[in-house]
Amino acid sequence: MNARAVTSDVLLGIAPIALLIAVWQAIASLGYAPATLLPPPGVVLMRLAQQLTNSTFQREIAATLFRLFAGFSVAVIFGVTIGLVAAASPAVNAVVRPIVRVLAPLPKVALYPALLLLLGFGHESKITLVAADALFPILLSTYYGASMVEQKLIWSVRRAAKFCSRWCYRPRCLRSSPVAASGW
Amino acid sequence: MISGRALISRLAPLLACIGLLGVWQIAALVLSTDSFPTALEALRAIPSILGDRESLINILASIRRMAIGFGVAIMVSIPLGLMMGRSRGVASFFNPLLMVTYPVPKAALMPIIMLWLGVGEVAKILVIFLGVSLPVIYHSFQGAKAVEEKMLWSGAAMGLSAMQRMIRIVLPAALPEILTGCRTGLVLALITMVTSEMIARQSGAGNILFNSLDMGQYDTVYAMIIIIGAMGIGLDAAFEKLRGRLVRWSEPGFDIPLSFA
Repeated sequence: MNARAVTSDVLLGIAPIALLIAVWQAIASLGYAPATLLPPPGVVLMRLAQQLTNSTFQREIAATLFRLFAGFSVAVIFGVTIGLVAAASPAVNAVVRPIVRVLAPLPKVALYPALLLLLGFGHESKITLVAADALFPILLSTYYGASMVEQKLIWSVRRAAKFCSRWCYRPRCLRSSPVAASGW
Repeated sequence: MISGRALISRLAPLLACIGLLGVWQIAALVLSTDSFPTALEALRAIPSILGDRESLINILASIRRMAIGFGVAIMVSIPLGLMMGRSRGVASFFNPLLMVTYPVPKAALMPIIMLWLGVGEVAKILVIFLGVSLPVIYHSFQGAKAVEEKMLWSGAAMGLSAMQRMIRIVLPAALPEILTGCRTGLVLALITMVTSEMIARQSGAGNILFNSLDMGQYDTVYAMIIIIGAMGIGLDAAFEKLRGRLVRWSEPGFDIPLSFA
Protein backbone atom coordinates (compact mmCIF):
# COMPACT_ATOMS: atom_id res chain seq x y z
CA MET A 1 0.00 0.00 0.00
CA ASN A 2 1.55 3.31 -0.96
CA ALA A 3 1.18 6.57 0.89
CA ARG A 4 -1.07 8.02 -1.75
CA ALA A 5 -3.66 5.25 -1.47
CA VAL A 6 -3.66 5.66 2.31
CA THR A 7 -4.27 9.41 2.00
CA SER A 8 -7.16 8.88 -0.40
CA ASP A 9 -8.61 6.26 1.99
CA VAL A 10 -8.44 8.72 4.86
CA LEU A 11 -10.07 11.45 2.76
CA LEU A 12 -12.78 9.04 1.65
CA GLY A 13 -13.40 8.10 5.26
CA ILE A 14 -13.61 11.67 6.49
CA ALA A 15 -16.10 12.52 3.73
CA PRO A 16 -19.27 10.97 5.26
CA ILE A 17 -18.53 12.44 8.70
CA ALA A 18 -17.90 15.89 7.24
CA LEU A 19 -21.02 15.53 5.10
CA LEU A 20 -23.09 14.66 8.16
CA ILE A 21 -21.90 17.74 10.04
CA ALA A 22 -22.46 19.90 6.95
CA VAL A 23 -26.04 18.64 6.57
CA TRP A 24 -26.62 19.25 10.29
CA GLN A 25 -25.31 22.81 9.96
CA ALA A 26 -27.36 23.39 6.80
CA ILE A 27 -30.59 22.17 8.36
CA ALA A 28 -30.02 24.39 11.37
CA SER A 29 -28.95 27.54 9.53
CA LEU A 30 -31.52 27.30 6.72
CA GLY A 31 -34.22 27.08 9.37
CA TYR A 32 -35.69 23.69 8.43
CA ALA A 33 -35.70 22.69 12.08
CA PRO A 34 -36.31 24.96 15.08
CA ALA A 35 -33.17 25.61 17.12
CA THR A 36 -34.75 23.97 20.17
CA LEU A 37 -35.04 20.65 18.34
CA LEU A 38 -31.72 20.79 16.51
CA PRO A 39 -29.21 23.44 17.62
CA PRO A 40 -26.37 24.01 15.11
CA PRO A 41 -23.13 22.03 15.73
CA GLY A 42 -21.17 25.15 16.77
CA VAL A 43 -23.63 25.93 19.55
CA VAL A 44 -23.53 22.34 20.78
CA LEU A 45 -19.71 22.37 20.87
CA MET A 46 -19.62 25.71 22.72
CA ARG A 47 -22.10 24.37 25.23
CA LEU A 48 -19.97 21.27 25.74
CA ALA A 49 -16.85 23.37 26.35
CA GLN A 50 -18.79 25.50 28.82
CA GLN A 51 -20.16 22.44 30.64
CA LEU A 52 -16.73 20.87 30.96
CA THR A 53 -15.60 23.78 33.16
CA ASN A 54 -18.74 23.56 35.28
CA SER A 55 -18.08 21.84 38.63
CA THR A 56 -21.51 20.20 38.90
CA PHE A 57 -21.07 18.71 35.46
CA GLN A 58 -17.59 17.51 36.37
CA ARG A 59 -18.91 15.82 39.50
CA GLU A 60 -21.58 13.99 37.51
CA ILE A 61 -19.08 12.81 34.93
CA ALA A 62 -16.70 11.73 37.70
CA ALA A 63 -19.46 9.64 39.30
CA THR A 64 -20.20 7.98 35.95
CA LEU A 65 -16.54 7.25 35.27
CA PHE A 66 -16.07 5.86 38.77
CA ARG A 67 -18.99 3.45 38.29
CA LEU A 68 -17.72 2.52 34.86
CA PHE A 69 -14.20 1.67 35.98
CA ALA A 70 -15.26 0.02 39.23
CA GLY A 71 -17.71 -2.25 37.40
CA PHE A 72 -15.22 -2.94 34.65
CA SER A 73 -12.47 -3.88 37.13
CA VAL A 74 -14.77 -6.27 38.93
CA ALA A 75 -15.71 -7.81 35.57
CA VAL A 76 -12.05 -8.17 34.53
CA ILE A 77 -11.08 -9.84 37.82
CA PHE A 78 -13.96 -12.32 37.77
CA GLY A 79 -14.02 -12.81 33.99
CA VAL A 80 -10.32 -13.55 33.61
CA THR A 81 -10.19 -15.79 36.70
CA ILE A 82 -13.26 -17.84 35.84
CA GLY A 83 -12.29 -18.01 32.16
CA LEU A 84 -8.78 -19.32 32.95
CA VAL A 85 -9.95 -21.83 35.54
CA ALA A 86 -12.71 -23.10 33.23
CA ALA A 87 -10.19 -23.58 30.43
CA ALA A 88 -7.76 -25.41 32.73
CA SER A 89 -10.15 -27.69 34.54
CA PRO A 90 -12.75 -29.87 32.78
CA ALA A 91 -14.77 -30.20 35.98
CA VAL A 92 -15.10 -26.44 36.44
CA ASN A 93 -15.80 -26.13 32.73
CA ALA A 94 -18.70 -28.58 32.95
CA VAL A 95 -20.31 -26.41 35.62
CA VAL A 96 -19.46 -22.96 34.26
CA ARG A 97 -20.35 -23.62 30.63
CA PRO A 98 -24.10 -24.23 30.97
CA ILE A 99 -24.43 -21.35 33.45
CA VAL A 100 -22.70 -18.98 31.05
CA ARG A 101 -24.84 -20.26 28.19
CA VAL A 102 -27.94 -19.35 30.14
CA LEU A 103 -26.75 -16.05 31.60
CA ALA A 104 -24.88 -14.58 28.60
CA PRO A 105 -27.95 -14.02 26.35
CA LEU A 106 -30.02 -12.71 29.27
CA PRO A 107 -30.55 -8.95 28.87
CA LYS A 108 -28.83 -7.51 31.94
CA VAL A 109 -30.87 -4.27 31.98
CA ALA A 110 -33.87 -6.37 32.95
CA LEU A 111 -32.01 -7.21 36.18
CA TYR A 112 -31.68 -3.54 37.07
CA PRO A 113 -34.98 -3.27 39.01
CA ALA A 114 -33.93 -6.26 41.11
CA LEU A 115 -30.52 -4.69 41.73
CA LEU A 116 -32.22 -1.43 42.74
CA LEU A 117 -34.40 -3.28 45.23
CA LEU A 118 -31.53 -5.29 46.66
CA LEU A 119 -28.67 -2.79 46.63
CA GLY A 120 -30.40 0.59 46.71
CA PHE A 121 -30.13 3.61 44.46
CA GLY A 122 -26.46 4.34 45.18
CA HIS A 123 -23.28 3.28 43.45
CA GLU A 124 -23.64 -0.42 44.32
CA SER A 125 -26.55 -1.29 42.05
CA LYS A 126 -25.07 0.56 39.08
CA ILE A 127 -21.59 -0.90 39.51
CA THR A 128 -23.11 -4.38 39.71
CA LEU A 129 -25.01 -3.80 36.48
CA VAL A 130 -21.85 -2.61 34.70
CA ALA A 131 -19.94 -5.63 36.01
CA ALA A 132 -22.71 -8.03 34.94
CA ASP A 133 -22.77 -6.55 31.44
CA ALA A 134 -19.00 -6.54 30.98
CA LEU A 135 -18.38 -9.93 32.60
CA PHE A 136 -19.46 -12.29 29.83
CA PRO A 137 -17.51 -10.89 26.86
CA ILE A 138 -14.36 -10.85 29.02
CA LEU A 139 -14.99 -14.32 30.42
CA LEU A 140 -15.69 -15.85 27.02
CA SER A 141 -12.70 -14.22 25.31
CA THR A 142 -10.40 -15.37 28.11
CA TYR A 143 -11.82 -18.86 27.96
CA TYR A 144 -11.50 -19.21 24.20
CA GLY A 145 -8.05 -17.63 24.26
CA ALA A 146 -6.87 -20.01 26.96
CA SER A 147 -8.38 -23.06 25.25
CA MET A 148 -6.38 -22.31 22.13
CA VAL A 149 -3.05 -22.59 23.96
CA GLU A 150 -1.19 -25.59 22.65
CA GLN A 151 -1.33 -28.53 24.99
CA LYS A 152 2.38 -29.23 24.42
CA LEU A 153 3.36 -25.92 25.94
CA ILE A 154 1.42 -26.72 29.07
CA TRP A 155 2.93 -30.21 29.34
CA SER A 156 6.46 -28.94 28.94
CA VAL A 157 6.06 -26.22 31.54
CA ARG A 158 4.38 -28.64 33.90
CA ARG A 159 7.31 -30.97 33.54
CA ALA A 160 9.86 -28.22 33.97
CA ALA A 161 8.25 -27.06 37.18
CA LYS A 162 6.35 -29.97 38.52
CA PHE A 163 6.79 -28.97 42.14
CA CYS A 164 4.85 -25.87 41.76
CA SER A 165 1.53 -26.48 40.07
CA ARG A 166 0.62 -22.83 39.85
CA TRP A 167 3.13 -22.34 37.08
CA CYS A 168 0.95 -24.25 34.72
CA TYR A 169 -1.16 -21.13 34.45
CA ARG A 170 1.75 -19.11 33.22
CA PRO A 171 1.79 -19.98 29.50
CA ARG A 172 -1.99 -19.89 29.47
CA CYS A 173 -2.02 -16.38 30.87
CA LEU A 174 0.58 -15.10 28.47
CA ARG A 175 -0.72 -16.85 25.41
CA SER A 176 -4.35 -16.01 26.02
CA SER A 177 -3.76 -12.35 26.72
CA PRO A 178 -4.22 -11.04 23.14
CA VAL A 179 -7.51 -12.89 22.73
CA ALA A 180 -8.66 -12.01 26.22
CA ALA A 181 -7.91 -8.37 25.59
CA SER A 182 -10.21 -8.39 22.57
CA GLY A 183 -13.13 -8.92 24.91
CA TRP A 184 -12.30 -5.80 26.87
CA MET B 1 -30.80 -44.20 22.03
CA ILE B 2 -29.04 -41.27 23.61
CA SER B 3 -26.17 -42.12 25.89
CA GLY B 4 -26.20 -40.84 29.47
CA ARG B 5 -23.39 -38.44 28.81
CA ALA B 6 -25.07 -36.84 25.79
CA LEU B 7 -28.29 -36.59 27.74
CA ILE B 8 -26.54 -34.73 30.55
CA SER B 9 -24.84 -32.32 28.16
CA ARG B 10 -28.17 -31.66 26.47
CA LEU B 11 -29.93 -31.07 29.77
CA ALA B 12 -27.06 -28.97 31.18
CA PRO B 13 -28.59 -25.54 30.35
CA LEU B 14 -31.86 -26.66 31.95
CA LEU B 15 -30.01 -27.88 35.03
CA ALA B 16 -28.19 -24.54 35.14
CA CYS B 17 -31.54 -22.70 35.10
CA ILE B 18 -32.88 -24.86 37.92
CA GLY B 19 -29.65 -24.36 39.85
CA LEU B 20 -29.80 -20.57 39.48
CA LEU B 21 -33.43 -20.52 40.57
CA GLY B 22 -32.45 -22.70 43.53
CA VAL B 23 -29.69 -20.25 44.54
CA TRP B 24 -32.23 -17.42 44.26
CA GLN B 25 -34.73 -19.35 46.40
CA ILE B 26 -32.18 -19.95 49.15
CA ALA B 27 -30.88 -16.35 49.04
CA ALA B 28 -34.43 -15.00 49.31
CA LEU B 29 -35.22 -17.30 52.23
CA VAL B 30 -32.03 -16.23 54.02
CA LEU B 31 -32.51 -12.49 53.43
CA SER B 32 -36.32 -12.65 53.83
CA THR B 33 -37.11 -9.02 52.96
CA ASP B 34 -40.29 -7.74 51.31
CA SER B 35 -38.44 -6.48 48.26
CA PHE B 36 -36.90 -9.86 47.45
CA PRO B 37 -39.56 -12.55 46.91
CA THR B 38 -38.49 -16.17 46.57
CA ALA B 39 -38.10 -17.76 43.16
CA LEU B 40 -41.26 -19.79 43.68
CA GLU B 41 -43.32 -16.69 44.47
CA ALA B 42 -42.00 -14.99 41.32
CA LEU B 43 -42.71 -18.05 39.20
CA ARG B 44 -46.23 -18.19 40.63
CA ALA B 45 -46.84 -14.59 39.50
CA ILE B 46 -46.03 -15.40 35.85
CA PRO B 47 -49.37 -17.05 34.87
CA SER B 48 -51.36 -14.05 36.12
CA ILE B 49 -49.22 -11.70 34.00
CA LEU B 50 -49.43 -13.82 30.88
CA GLY B 51 -53.15 -14.38 31.47
CA ASP B 52 -53.83 -10.66 31.75
CA ARG B 53 -54.97 -9.20 28.41
CA GLU B 54 -53.44 -5.79 29.01
CA SER B 55 -49.95 -7.04 29.81
CA LEU B 56 -50.05 -9.66 27.08
CA ILE B 57 -50.77 -6.90 24.55
CA ASN B 58 -47.83 -4.94 26.00
CA ILE B 59 -45.45 -7.86 25.70
CA LEU B 60 -46.58 -8.66 22.15
CA ALA B 61 -46.13 -5.00 21.20
CA SER B 62 -42.54 -5.22 22.48
CA ILE B 63 -41.86 -8.34 20.46
CA ARG B 64 -43.35 -6.74 17.35
CA ARG B 65 -41.11 -3.67 17.68
CA MET B 66 -38.12 -5.87 18.23
CA ALA B 67 -38.91 -8.02 15.19
CA ILE B 68 -39.38 -4.98 12.93
CA GLY B 69 -36.20 -3.27 14.16
CA PHE B 70 -34.20 -6.48 13.85
CA GLY B 71 -35.61 -7.33 10.42
CA VAL B 72 -34.97 -3.91 8.90
CA ALA B 73 -31.49 -3.79 10.43
CA ILE B 74 -30.57 -7.15 8.92
CA MET B 75 -31.89 -6.22 5.49
CA VAL B 76 -29.79 -3.05 5.44
CA SER B 77 -26.69 -4.29 7.25
CA ILE B 78 -25.94 -7.55 5.47
CA PRO B 79 -25.74 -6.04 1.94
CA LEU B 80 -23.78 -3.07 3.29
CA GLY B 81 -21.35 -5.31 5.18
CA LEU B 82 -20.85 -7.58 2.17
CA MET B 83 -20.17 -4.64 -0.12
CA MET B 84 -17.70 -3.22 2.39
CA GLY B 85 -15.96 -6.58 2.49
CA ARG B 86 -15.57 -6.79 -1.29
CA SER B 87 -14.85 -3.21 -2.23
CA ARG B 88 -12.04 -1.23 -0.72
CA GLY B 89 -13.62 2.07 -1.65
CA VAL B 90 -16.91 1.26 0.10
CA ALA B 91 -14.99 -0.01 3.13
CA SER B 92 -12.85 3.10 3.51
CA PHE B 93 -15.93 5.28 3.02
CA PHE B 94 -17.97 3.68 5.80
CA ASN B 95 -15.34 2.38 8.24
CA PRO B 96 -14.48 5.65 10.02
CA LEU B 97 -18.15 6.58 10.35
CA LEU B 98 -18.94 3.17 11.87
CA MET B 99 -15.88 3.40 14.14
CA VAL B 100 -17.16 6.73 15.46
CA THR B 101 -20.70 5.47 16.03
CA TYR B 102 -19.75 2.04 17.40
CA PRO B 103 -18.90 3.06 20.99
CA VAL B 104 -21.94 5.35 21.32
CA PRO B 105 -24.48 3.63 23.58
CA LYS B 106 -27.56 3.56 21.36
CA ALA B 107 -29.93 3.96 24.29
CA ALA B 108 -28.25 7.31 25.07
CA LEU B 109 -29.61 8.58 21.75
CA MET B 110 -33.13 7.79 22.92
CA PRO B 111 -33.85 11.25 24.41
CA ILE B 112 -32.89 13.04 21.16
CA ILE B 113 -34.82 10.59 19.03
CA MET B 114 -37.85 10.99 21.31
CA LEU B 115 -37.57 14.75 20.87
CA TRP B 116 -37.78 14.38 17.10
CA LEU B 117 -40.06 11.41 16.63
CA GLY B 118 -42.10 11.32 19.83
CA VAL B 119 -42.37 8.46 22.29
CA GLY B 120 -44.20 6.14 19.90
CA GLU B 121 -43.27 3.09 17.89
CA VAL B 122 -40.96 4.75 15.36
CA ALA B 123 -38.51 6.08 17.96
CA LYS B 124 -38.14 2.70 19.64
CA ILE B 125 -37.83 0.79 16.39
CA LEU B 126 -35.14 3.23 15.25
CA VAL B 127 -33.11 2.70 18.42
CA ILE B 128 -33.40 -1.09 18.06
CA PHE B 129 -32.35 -0.74 14.41
CA LEU B 130 -29.26 1.25 15.40
CA GLY B 131 -28.35 -1.23 18.12
CA VAL B 132 -28.62 -4.26 15.84
CA SER B 133 -26.99 -2.91 12.67
CA LEU B 134 -23.43 -2.37 13.87
CA PRO B 135 -22.57 -5.95 14.90
CA VAL B 136 -24.31 -7.33 11.80
CA ILE B 137 -22.41 -4.95 9.50
CA TYR B 138 -19.15 -5.77 11.24
CA HIS B 139 -19.56 -9.54 10.98
CA SER B 140 -20.80 -9.42 7.36
CA PHE B 141 -17.79 -7.24 6.54
CA GLN B 142 -15.36 -9.70 8.15
CA GLY B 143 -17.10 -12.65 6.49
CA ALA B 144 -17.02 -11.11 3.02
CA LYS B 145 -13.39 -10.05 3.42
CA ALA B 146 -12.33 -13.63 4.17
CA VAL B 147 -13.82 -15.12 0.97
CA GLU B 148 -11.18 -16.87 -1.10
CA GLU B 149 -10.18 -14.83 -4.14
CA LYS B 150 -9.79 -17.94 -6.28
CA MET B 151 -13.48 -18.76 -5.95
CA LEU B 152 -14.39 -15.29 -7.16
CA TRP B 153 -11.96 -15.56 -10.05
CA SER B 154 -13.39 -18.88 -11.16
CA GLY B 155 -16.87 -17.44 -10.80
CA ALA B 156 -15.89 -14.53 -13.02
CA ALA B 157 -14.26 -16.89 -15.51
CA MET B 158 -17.50 -18.87 -15.69
CA GLY B 159 -19.31 -15.71 -16.64
CA LEU B 160 -21.00 -14.66 -13.41
CA SER B 161 -21.68 -10.96 -13.15
CA ALA B 162 -20.56 -8.99 -10.09
CA MET B 163 -24.05 -9.16 -8.63
CA GLN B 164 -24.31 -12.91 -9.21
CA ARG B 165 -20.89 -13.46 -7.64
CA MET B 166 -22.05 -11.53 -4.59
CA ILE B 167 -25.18 -13.63 -4.14
CA ARG B 168 -23.89 -17.05 -5.18
CA ILE B 169 -20.34 -16.98 -3.82
CA VAL B 170 -19.80 -14.24 -1.25
CA LEU B 171 -23.12 -14.57 0.58
CA PRO B 172 -22.95 -18.34 1.22
CA ALA B 173 -19.24 -18.20 2.07
CA ALA B 174 -19.80 -15.41 4.57
CA LEU B 175 -23.01 -16.90 5.97
CA PRO B 176 -21.53 -18.49 9.13
CA GLU B 177 -19.93 -15.19 10.09
CA ILE B 178 -23.10 -13.23 9.20
CA LEU B 179 -25.19 -15.50 11.41
CA THR B 180 -22.79 -14.97 14.30
CA GLY B 181 -23.41 -11.25 13.88
CA CYS B 182 -27.17 -11.82 13.74
CA ARG B 183 -27.06 -13.82 16.95
CA THR B 184 -25.30 -11.00 18.75
CA GLY B 185 -27.75 -8.58 17.13
CA LEU B 186 -30.73 -10.56 18.37
CA VAL B 187 -29.66 -10.26 21.99
CA LEU B 188 -28.81 -6.58 21.45
CA ALA B 189 -32.29 -6.05 20.01
CA LEU B 190 -33.79 -7.40 23.22
CA ILE B 191 -31.50 -5.22 25.36
CA THR B 192 -32.27 -2.03 23.41
CA MET B 193 -35.96 -2.92 23.45
CA VAL B 194 -36.03 -3.05 27.25
CA THR B 195 -33.88 0.07 27.58
CA SER B 196 -35.97 2.09 25.15
CA GLU B 197 -39.14 1.13 27.00
CA MET B 198 -37.49 2.05 30.27
CA ILE B 199 -36.74 5.55 28.95
CA ALA B 200 -39.98 6.12 27.03
CA ARG B 201 -42.53 4.39 29.22
CA GLN B 202 -45.63 4.02 27.17
CA SER B 203 -46.15 0.36 26.45
CA GLY B 204 -44.19 -2.83 26.37
CA ALA B 205 -42.50 -5.40 28.57
CA GLY B 206 -39.98 -2.89 29.90
CA ASN B 207 -42.85 -0.59 30.77
CA ILE B 208 -44.53 -3.25 32.92
CA LEU B 209 -41.20 -4.04 34.55
CA PHE B 210 -40.35 -0.49 35.64
CA ASN B 211 -43.92 0.56 36.43
CA SER B 212 -44.40 -2.36 38.77
CA LEU B 213 -41.12 -1.36 40.42
CA ASP B 214 -42.49 2.15 41.00
CA MET B 215 -45.75 0.79 42.35
CA GLY B 216 -44.00 -1.62 44.67
CA GLN B 217 -45.46 -4.80 43.12
CA TYR B 218 -42.31 -6.77 43.76
CA ASP B 219 -43.47 -10.18 42.64
CA THR B 220 -44.49 -8.69 39.27
CA VAL B 221 -41.01 -7.11 38.96
CA TYR B 222 -39.29 -10.44 39.46
CA ALA B 223 -41.78 -12.34 37.31
CA MET B 224 -41.13 -9.87 34.45
CA ILE B 225 -37.39 -10.37 34.90
CA ILE B 226 -37.93 -14.11 34.48
CA ILE B 227 -40.13 -13.54 31.41
CA ILE B 228 -37.64 -11.18 29.71
CA GLY B 229 -34.73 -13.45 30.65
CA ALA B 230 -36.56 -16.45 29.23
CA MET B 231 -37.18 -14.49 26.02
CA GLY B 232 -33.44 -13.85 25.71
CA ILE B 233 -32.45 -17.44 26.40
CA GLY B 234 -35.23 -18.84 24.21
CA LEU B 235 -34.53 -16.57 21.23
CA ASP B 236 -30.82 -17.33 21.45
CA ALA B 237 -31.41 -21.09 21.63
CA ALA B 238 -33.89 -20.96 18.72
CA PHE B 239 -31.49 -18.94 16.60
CA GLU B 240 -28.70 -21.38 17.37
CA LYS B 241 -30.91 -24.23 16.12
CA LEU B 242 -31.64 -22.31 12.92
CA ARG B 243 -27.97 -21.49 12.45
CA GLY B 244 -27.08 -25.15 12.83
CA ARG B 245 -29.54 -25.99 10.04
CA LEU B 246 -28.43 -23.25 7.66
CA VAL B 247 -24.69 -23.76 7.94
CA ARG B 248 -24.39 -27.39 8.89
CA TRP B 249 -21.24 -27.59 6.77
CA SER B 250 -19.38 -25.09 8.87
CA GLU B 251 -18.07 -26.08 12.26
CA PRO B 252 -18.83 -23.23 14.67
CA GLY B 253 -15.62 -21.77 16.08
CA PHE B 254 -17.18 -20.72 19.35
CA ASP B 255 -20.56 -21.89 20.51
CA ILE B 256 -21.29 -18.68 22.38
CA PRO B 257 -20.64 -15.40 20.57
CA LEU B 258 -18.11 -13.19 22.29
CA SER B 259 -19.79 -9.85 22.05
CA PHE B 260 -22.99 -9.78 24.06
CA ALA B 261 -22.45 -6.12 24.66
